[in-house]
Amino acid sequence: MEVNKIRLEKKGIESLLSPLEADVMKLLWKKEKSRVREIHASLKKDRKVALTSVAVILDRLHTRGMVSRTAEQGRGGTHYIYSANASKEGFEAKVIENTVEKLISSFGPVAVNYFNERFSKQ
Amino acid sequence: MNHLICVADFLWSPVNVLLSTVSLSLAYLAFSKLRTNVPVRQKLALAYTHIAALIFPFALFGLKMACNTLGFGCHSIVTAVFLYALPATIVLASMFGFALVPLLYTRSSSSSAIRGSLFSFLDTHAKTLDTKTPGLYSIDNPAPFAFSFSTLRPSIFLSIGMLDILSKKEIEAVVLHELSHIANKDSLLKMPSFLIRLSPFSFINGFGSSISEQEKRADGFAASVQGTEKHLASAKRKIEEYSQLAG
Repeated sequence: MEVNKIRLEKKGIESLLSPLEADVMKLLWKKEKSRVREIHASLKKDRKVALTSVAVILDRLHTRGMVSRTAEQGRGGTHYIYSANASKEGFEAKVIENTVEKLISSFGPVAVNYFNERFSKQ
Repeated sequence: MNHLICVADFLWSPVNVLLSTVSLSLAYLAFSKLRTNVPVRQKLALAYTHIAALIFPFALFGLKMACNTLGFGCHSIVTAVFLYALPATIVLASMFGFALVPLLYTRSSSSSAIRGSLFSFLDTHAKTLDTKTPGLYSIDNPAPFAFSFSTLRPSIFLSIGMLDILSKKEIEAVVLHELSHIANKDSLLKMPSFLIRLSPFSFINGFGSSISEQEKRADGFAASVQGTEKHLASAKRKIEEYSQLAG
């Protein structure tokens, strides 16, 4: 996943995703496959959120490659089933990898030297 | 041999070649864009553009040959294009589109037939309207929308996005709305208005009634069956909300 903006005042995935996006991803990591309504029902317990907002967020996450989507026939007709494309750890590792690559690409030797010193101290 | 001479004669004119090349290029571009993820209305415009642009060179060729054979004296390319080829293209494209565009959707890999309780609901109400039950399909698209064709094989299409966010009653309201369009043989579907004006079938379908009157009638039908306007109103609100949030 492309990393273009990190909010350094936040921690974990909240530094990368909006609060609602982060909550949606946490739910998908917890429960592997979910419908839009199921995610909405879980989120509604803790915050006021519209079903349409959840649907839009899931579509955005799908466009960004973070979730996959399949159409499945079931009770009540055809619905999308969403699932996370990577585990939480896998996602975080990818973010770190992309971020470090961007830093090296932007700052070149300064960034490389920093990482060398930082990791050699450990 | 005469046919080859006719073709050679047609292609001898740089203007004919230029017009045909531009038209076929436009057909190719429209087709390429058609295969991408564009909104439904754009898809329809592209489908008609593709068909018209494909037909135009042949219409121009045929009419040039007719002109030469029958001695109409329409040697001017401007006359041939604007008085004969373009109108003929529009008529032929409308006819082909009328028949073929719905097949784009029913035969597409992104649509699948809906069965079960929703189809039974549609079947019941189609019978009350003394209308053949239209096909009911879902379209693989996260945006909520619905449309129908009242053509050779009437069909109603609901996006999976719509099935995801609307309640059972709201979906039924939408289905009733679309069924009303089909039963009343309303506009081909919610086409871009410029295509409606160009198509000769706008005089046959929904004769004398404007698109907004058709919409009111369809809304009224859904409300009368459900005994309330609230489900359709709620469905429209959610669709609008999605559209605003998605940007």
